[in-house]
Amino acid sequence: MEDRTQILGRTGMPNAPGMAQPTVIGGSRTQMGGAMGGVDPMRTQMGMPMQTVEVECVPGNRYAMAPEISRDHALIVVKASGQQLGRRAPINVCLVIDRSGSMEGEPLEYVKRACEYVVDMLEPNDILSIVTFEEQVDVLMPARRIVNKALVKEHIRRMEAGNTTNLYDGLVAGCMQIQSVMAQTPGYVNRVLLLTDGEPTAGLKDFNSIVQQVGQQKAQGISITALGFGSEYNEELMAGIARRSGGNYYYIQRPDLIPEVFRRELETLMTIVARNVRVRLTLTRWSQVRQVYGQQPAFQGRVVEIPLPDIERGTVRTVLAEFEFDRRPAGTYRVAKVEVLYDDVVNNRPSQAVGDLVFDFTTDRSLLAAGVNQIVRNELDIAMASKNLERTMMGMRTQQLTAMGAMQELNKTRTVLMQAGQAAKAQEVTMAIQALQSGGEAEKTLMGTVLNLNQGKR
Amino acid sequence: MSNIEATRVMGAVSPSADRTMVVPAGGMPTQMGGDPMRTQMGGTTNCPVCKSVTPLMEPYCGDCGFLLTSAPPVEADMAPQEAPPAELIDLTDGRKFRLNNGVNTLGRQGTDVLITDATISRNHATITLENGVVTVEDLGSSNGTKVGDLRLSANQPTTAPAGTVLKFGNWQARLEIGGPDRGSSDKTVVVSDRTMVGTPPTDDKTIVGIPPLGDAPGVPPLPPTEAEDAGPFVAMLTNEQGPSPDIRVTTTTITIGRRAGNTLVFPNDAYISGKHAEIATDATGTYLTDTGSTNGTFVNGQRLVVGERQLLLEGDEVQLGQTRYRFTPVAPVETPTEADADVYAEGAGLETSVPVEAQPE
Repeated sequence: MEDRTQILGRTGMPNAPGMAQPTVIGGSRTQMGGAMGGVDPMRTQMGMPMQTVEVECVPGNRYAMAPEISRDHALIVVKASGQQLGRRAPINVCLVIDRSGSMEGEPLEYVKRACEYVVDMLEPNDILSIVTFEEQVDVLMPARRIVNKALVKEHIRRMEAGNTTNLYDGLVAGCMQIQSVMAQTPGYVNRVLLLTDGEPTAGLKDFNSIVQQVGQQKAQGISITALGFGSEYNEELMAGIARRSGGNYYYIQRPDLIPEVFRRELETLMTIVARNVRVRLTLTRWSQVRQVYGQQPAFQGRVVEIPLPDIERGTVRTVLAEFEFDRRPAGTYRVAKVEVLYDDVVNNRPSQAVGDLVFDFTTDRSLLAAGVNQIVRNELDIAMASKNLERTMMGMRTQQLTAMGAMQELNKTRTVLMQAGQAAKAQEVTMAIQALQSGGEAEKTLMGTVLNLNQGKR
Repeated sequence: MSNIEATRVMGAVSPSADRTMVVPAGGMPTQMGGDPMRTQMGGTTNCPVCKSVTPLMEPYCGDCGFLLTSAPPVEADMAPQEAPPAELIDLTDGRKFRLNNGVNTLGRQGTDVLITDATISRNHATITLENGVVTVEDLGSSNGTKVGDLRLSANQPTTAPAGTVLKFGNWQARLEIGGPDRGSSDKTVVVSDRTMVGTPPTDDKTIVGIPPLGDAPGVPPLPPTEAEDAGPFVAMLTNEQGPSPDIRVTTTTITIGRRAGNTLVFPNDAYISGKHAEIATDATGTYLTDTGSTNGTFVNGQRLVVGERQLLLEGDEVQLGQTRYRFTPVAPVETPTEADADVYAEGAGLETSVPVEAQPE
C-alpha cells in the first residue's frame, strides 16, 4: 500500500490517486449491507447454496397513497458475496495500445513496463493478446496462453512509435483477438484494455461509429476498459466507450502512473464474479417506470431491463429508479418483480437472483412520513450529485460557467457526496477543483466520477 | 370456504392492522405457511382486486401485484383508476405517458413527461390539454418539435389532433386523446373499418391500446373489440398485414368468425369462415383453436388441426383468413374496462372527445 502512494507521488494527499477509481472497495459495502439487514435468513434456512449475487429491493417509502397517482423511488441493490467461493475466473484480455507519434519516449517506455507487468500477473489459464495501433494496426501477440513470459516481453520491448491514431481499427482488431479464442474459452472474463493519449486521427473517427462498434462488442460479451493518458485524449469518447460496454474508465495524468493503473485494472478483472449482468423489472399493472438514474433502460411492454457492468467480489451495484403508480384499492402490492440475470463466472453457469419490490398503498396520509427510507433518500442525493456534475461539465464546455462558477458548483456537489457517504467520489471532486485552480483538466477526472456514479458503483 | 375468505377471517379487524403483519420488502409473506390451501400444487385463485387468475403458489397477483394472502381491500369496488385524459405512446417501444388536463411539461429532467433521450432538451416542450384539445409548444429546444410533418417554431403553440405523431428531438410518439370506455353494452361487437365514424383527419393507422409493432401500411384502426364483461387484457394479436383489425385477447374466451354470434365478427374477409377460431386464455397461457374453418388457421405457417388447442407464444405469427397477426402477451397499464370505444363511436373529432372522468362506484 505504501509503495503505491509513492508511485502515485501526490505527497500532499496520501489518499488521492492520480486517476479515477474503478471501484470503491470496502467501506460503503458494509454500511449498505448492515443497514439493509444483510443476507435473507429465509434463504439459508431452506438450505440453498450461497448465491454469488444477491438482490435487495428497497422502496423509497414503504407507503404510497392508494387513492391518487403517485411517484416514488426504489433502490435495487445488487450485491456480490465477499467470500471467495472458488477459483477466480480466468481472463481473456487484450491490450490495445496507442503507439502514435505522441506516445514516443517516456510514455511508450512506461507502457512497455505496464504490459510486462500484465504478463507477470497472468496465470497459466489466462489468455493474453496485444494489439498496437497508429496509422495501421499490428497484432503484436495473438490471443494465447503465455508459456514463455520472457519471449512475450521481448516482443513488447520492440514496440515503436508511429504516426497517427487509428483507434477504431485498433479496437476492432483487439476485439477480434478475444473473439478468435472465445469458442474455446467459455466462462472467461473477456476484456479489452484500450490505452490512448489523443483524439482518433485515422480510420473512423466519430463518436457514434466508435461507440456503436463498442455496443456490438458488448453484445458479444466483450467489455472495454478505456484508459485515457495525458491531457489530449477525448474524455467524452473514452467515458462513452466505457459506459457503453460496461467497462471502467481511467484518467492517467502522468506516464509513470501507467503501470500502476494496468495493475489495478488487472486486479479488478481478477475478482469479477458475475458478467453479462442485467436487472429485469417486470411491472405489475398500475405501475410504470419513469426513469432509471444514470441509465438508459430498454422498455418492452411491462418489462424494463437495465444492463449492469461486471461485478467484482464483495462489491455492490445500485440501480435507482423512479416509478409512477396509478390509483388503486388500498393494500399491499408488488409493483415489480425484480430479477438479476447474470453469468456466474466462478461456477461457470448462468444464474439469477430474484426479489420483489413491494409497496403498501394506503389511504392514511399520516403514514407517509414514517415510511421514508433513508438509504434510498441518500441514493437520490448521490444521483442528483451526479447530474449536477454533468451539468457543471456541460457548463464548462459551453463556457456558460466560469472557472469560478464551476468551482462553486463543484464545492456544493462535493459537500453532497460527503454527506451521502461517498468519500472517495468527493475526493475526486476535490481533485477536479484543485485542477481547476491550477488551470488544469477537471473534466477528465469528473468524467470518471460521473461514470462510476451512474454505473451504480458504491 | 374460499381461500380469500379464510384469510379475511384470520386477519385482524381493521385492514390497516392486517397490513402491518406483512413484510413489505422481499421475503415471503408470513401467513403463507399457515394456509394449507396455498401450499397445494396446481389450482388457481382469483385476485380480489383485479379478478385476474393466478396460480395458488404465487404470493402476489401476477397482474396487479396485490398480496394475495392479505385481506382484500375494503373499497375493492372502487374504480381503481381513471384512464388518462390523453396519452403519448412511444412509437418504438410502446411506453405510455399520461397527459393530464392542463399544462404537461416534456423534457429530459424533472418534467411531467420524462424522456431520457439525448436528443431531448431538459425543458423541451409543453403539451396543454384543455377540453380535449391538445396544443403543443416548443420551448426553444435544441433539436426541435414536430406535430405530424410540421416543424414548430419556438413558443408557437400548435394544435395536435388525436392520432398525430409528435416528434421531440429524435423521439416519436403518437398522441391519443380520450377517456375510458364506460362499458359497451353489446356482447357482440361488429368490427369492420366502416364503423370508424369520425376517425381523426390525420389518423390513418391508429391502433389504440397497444403500440403498433411496425408501421405497416394500410393497417386499419382498432375498433372497440372488447365485450362488456371481458376479463383483463392479457395479450394482443397485432395486425401485420391484411384487412381485419387487431385482436385484444382477454381472459374471456373469444370466438372469431364471419357470422354474427361470434364475439368478434369479421365480415370483410371472405376467407374467414362463419365459425372460424377461438382464443381462450387460462393461467397457463393463451390458446388458439381452429373451430372448423374452411381456409384454416395458421400459427407460424403450420395449419392447426381443427379442435386442437395451440399454445401461443410471444412473437408467434398467426394467420386468420387474409390477415397475418403477430402475438404479443401484454398486460395493460390501463384499466381492464378501457377500450377506447368512445373515441371511435362518438368520433374522435376534437369537440366530441371530452375526457371522461373516473368511473363511478
